[in-house]
Amino acid sequence: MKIITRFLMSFFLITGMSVYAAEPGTLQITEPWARESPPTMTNGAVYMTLTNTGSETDRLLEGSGEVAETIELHTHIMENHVAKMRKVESIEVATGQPTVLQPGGLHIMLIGLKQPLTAGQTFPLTLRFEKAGEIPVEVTVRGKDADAAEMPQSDGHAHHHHN
Amino acid sequence: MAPRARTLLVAAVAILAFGLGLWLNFGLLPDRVDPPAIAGIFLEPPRSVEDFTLIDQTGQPFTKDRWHGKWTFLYFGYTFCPDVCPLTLLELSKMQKILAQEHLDQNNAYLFISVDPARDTPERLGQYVPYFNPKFQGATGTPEQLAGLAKQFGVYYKIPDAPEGNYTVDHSSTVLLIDPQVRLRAVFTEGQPALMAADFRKILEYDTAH
Repeated sequence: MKIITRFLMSFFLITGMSVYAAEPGTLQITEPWARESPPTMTNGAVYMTLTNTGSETDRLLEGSGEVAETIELHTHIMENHVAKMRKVESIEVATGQPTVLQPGGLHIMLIGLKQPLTAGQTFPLTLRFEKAGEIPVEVTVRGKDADAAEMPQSDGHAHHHHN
Repeated sequence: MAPRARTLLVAAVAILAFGLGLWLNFGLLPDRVDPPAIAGIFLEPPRSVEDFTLIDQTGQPFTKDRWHGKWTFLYFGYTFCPDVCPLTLLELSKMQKILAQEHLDQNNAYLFISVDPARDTPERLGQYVPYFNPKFQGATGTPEQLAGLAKQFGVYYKIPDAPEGNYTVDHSSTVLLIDPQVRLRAVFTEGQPALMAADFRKILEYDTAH
């Protein structure tokens, strides 16, 4: 084969493949956290902020790990002040603005925790994205008083805790 | 009638009418205090709570008599709820602390009613509820009793028809306020602690002004 043909083939092969592979580091995951388990609770929820700095919309497809029997993606639909929690097949992470998983909204649900979650512990979770692939994270467990940013403090300003 | 006499008569009637108007507005009819504007629904007139029987977390019967003489904050949910119920109970707990700081929690009650008695036994409630705040109490009941009570308060919930495994229960996320005369006074639709505390204060002030 002529060198120019081989060169052109390689060129197109590489650029073609790059369409399927996201540039590394375009999916940022910040502050993955979960609440500590109230007594008797065997379900939990993981929250985080997903930022897509790439050029194409990505999708969180699943979470996996040893922390619970089943891990699913869920959202809350609020209709007339009725909370309806629903499983979703994926969570879209568009470019431009962060996708936030937070209480009352999107979350990764942990069904059948093997151990209750306790404040201060961390546990591993692997997130699988359609484009960005598998990204492992360490989830921090916060105690019930940890997200006390709104609490009025005696010295006049709120303390924001980062565990 | 002579023109001048008529003018005087008209003037006299006008003055009388004006005087009557002033008297009616400021003297005869009581001052009207506007109902408080809250983030939610303020019930005017209040709605008396009808009889019901629930079971408290110690397994004892629980009737509306327990609500006499105190303000009660009510929330309907279930313990297997991973997100909204812990969130709301934590917000209620923060609200309770704000009220305590403002000396507005002399004798309040805070009650979590589980609409999922199949899984939420009194014993389970007794372990789950105090975690959020030692002042919080739990209760549940038979499906019929729960349905009746929820209907009284306009609270919606739905247990799946064929519940299996880890089923989820849709439910209203509102917080209800019952007064010391055991009447429904308000439905808070926004859970922010400072906002609920402020709305409770407005309702107390409204009651004092009446």
